[in-house]
Amino acid sequence: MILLWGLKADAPINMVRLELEKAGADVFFLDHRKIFHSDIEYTFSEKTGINCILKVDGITLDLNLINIAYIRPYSFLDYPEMDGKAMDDPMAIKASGFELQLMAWLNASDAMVINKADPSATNNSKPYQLSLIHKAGFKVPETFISNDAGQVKQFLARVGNAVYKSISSVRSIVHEVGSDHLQFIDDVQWCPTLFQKVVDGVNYRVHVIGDELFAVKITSDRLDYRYGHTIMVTEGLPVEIAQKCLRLNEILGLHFSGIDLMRTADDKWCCFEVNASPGYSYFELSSGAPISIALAKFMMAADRS
Amino acid sequence: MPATRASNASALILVISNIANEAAASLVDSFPLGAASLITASAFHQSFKGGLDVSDFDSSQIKINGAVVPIAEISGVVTTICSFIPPEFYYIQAADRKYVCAEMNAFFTFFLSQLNCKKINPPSVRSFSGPNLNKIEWIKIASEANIPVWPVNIANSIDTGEGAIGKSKLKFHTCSVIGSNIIGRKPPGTLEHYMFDLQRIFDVPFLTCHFISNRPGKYFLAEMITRPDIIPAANRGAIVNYFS
Repeated sequence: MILLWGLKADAPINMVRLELEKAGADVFFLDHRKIFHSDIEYTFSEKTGINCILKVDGITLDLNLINIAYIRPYSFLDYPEMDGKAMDDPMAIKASGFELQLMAWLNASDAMVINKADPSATNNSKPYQLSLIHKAGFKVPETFISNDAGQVKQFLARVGNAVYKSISSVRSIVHEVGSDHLQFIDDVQWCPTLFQKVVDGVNYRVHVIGDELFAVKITSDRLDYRYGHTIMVTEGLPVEIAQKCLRLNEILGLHFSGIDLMRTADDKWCCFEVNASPGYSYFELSSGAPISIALAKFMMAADRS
Repeated sequence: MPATRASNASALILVISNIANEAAASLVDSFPLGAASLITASAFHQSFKGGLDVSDFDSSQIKINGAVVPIAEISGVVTTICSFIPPEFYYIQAADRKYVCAEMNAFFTFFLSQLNCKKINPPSVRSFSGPNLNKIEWIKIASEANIPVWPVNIANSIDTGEGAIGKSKLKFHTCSVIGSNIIGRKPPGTLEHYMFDLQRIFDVPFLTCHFISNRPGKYFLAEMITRPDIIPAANRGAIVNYFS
């Protein structure tokens, strides 16, 4: 059985769900919106072994039946039921307990999970992930993290144009460092800040699903294409780059990923980041790349094996 | 007062902890003068200054408590926390603490992962110290390694206690290991064997486990802690010996 865990309104979940239903797959959709009314119970003993039961809407699901799961949980703190409620409210404690236990079950399970916690967590530290990307054979942009204004100035003077962005997975808009930013450079003393040499070229987003990949070429009027007028077209990758993408996905322990690449004018390929829970729908709807169909087929094959 | 490095010191142990953990300061004081430094989120802006080069980490330049510390001279790390938490950043305005905390956690995940030295315990992507597995995760691994595990029933992450086998005449044992040594009194041979098996399986030099026994010679693993417990003085002494 295939488990989908997320929101109906979330396009990546919804698009693959439609493809799975169209193909007649055995799917259980666990609506994250119903988290306040969901329960999970785990038992272990030497006699009975490991068992875990999920209950929602009067339905009971034996989680041992799940062969593959695609998960895109959301923050229940943003739901209206939590308005005016603190984190220690009984409703919040139960919801976070449910979420924690289901994640732990999936991490421990023999089922294929897109994606388990540890491979996904490399994205929580960009420099840590960059060190793994580098080991996978990709060039990475010159990156410097510091809380010392003097060292930051030296880095900026050496590399010329640079951007700053978050070190963690907290979403931030990438900005080029300008002269107006330099007057605030002493503020880095309060929090280490990540600076990266600007790499000029053409952006590519590559989605890897198992051993299949979909590359999209992106042109935009903004440095951070997510916030500009952007055009996307599907395009094949050089064999060597495609192999590196597959290898990177494997090294990170991911089944499905979104890899951000830059192709420079002198035909060098640089990797910026790997997203372990890619919002592929944005790229599919903009370029026509059939990612949701491929993802559905991948999950159905895993369910059969 | 933060410890000052002795002028002849050539190696440094970093103790990463919470400023409220008095045992962490005691641990630093247990090392020879200047051989260890305490790093906390609350004093980070005063005690740690520097820059990390992602592609050439070893050339990174850092200062700890005002002294230049070449990366290669960091000879050990003891981390007593899984991550920082927002209230530790009291010097940041309240609205920004959550963000700064996430950034600092990401910074330390990278910093600790790149240091090539003895670590108690090696960091993971989830924690500054050890794998920090949920009970459901380590039960599976331990039981598959044929280590008896105490029965449990967990509902929405709360142990209901309903899984327990009998509630009378139970004996409780706590064991800690560091490197190849048991800390404190030697436990029964079976427990010693379990401890070193678990230490190897979870790849942690320092491990504390709680066992329950319901009959002579039968021990069940009930809890496993991969963050070093530095509160007992014996544990702090064992850590100092481990790095000496």
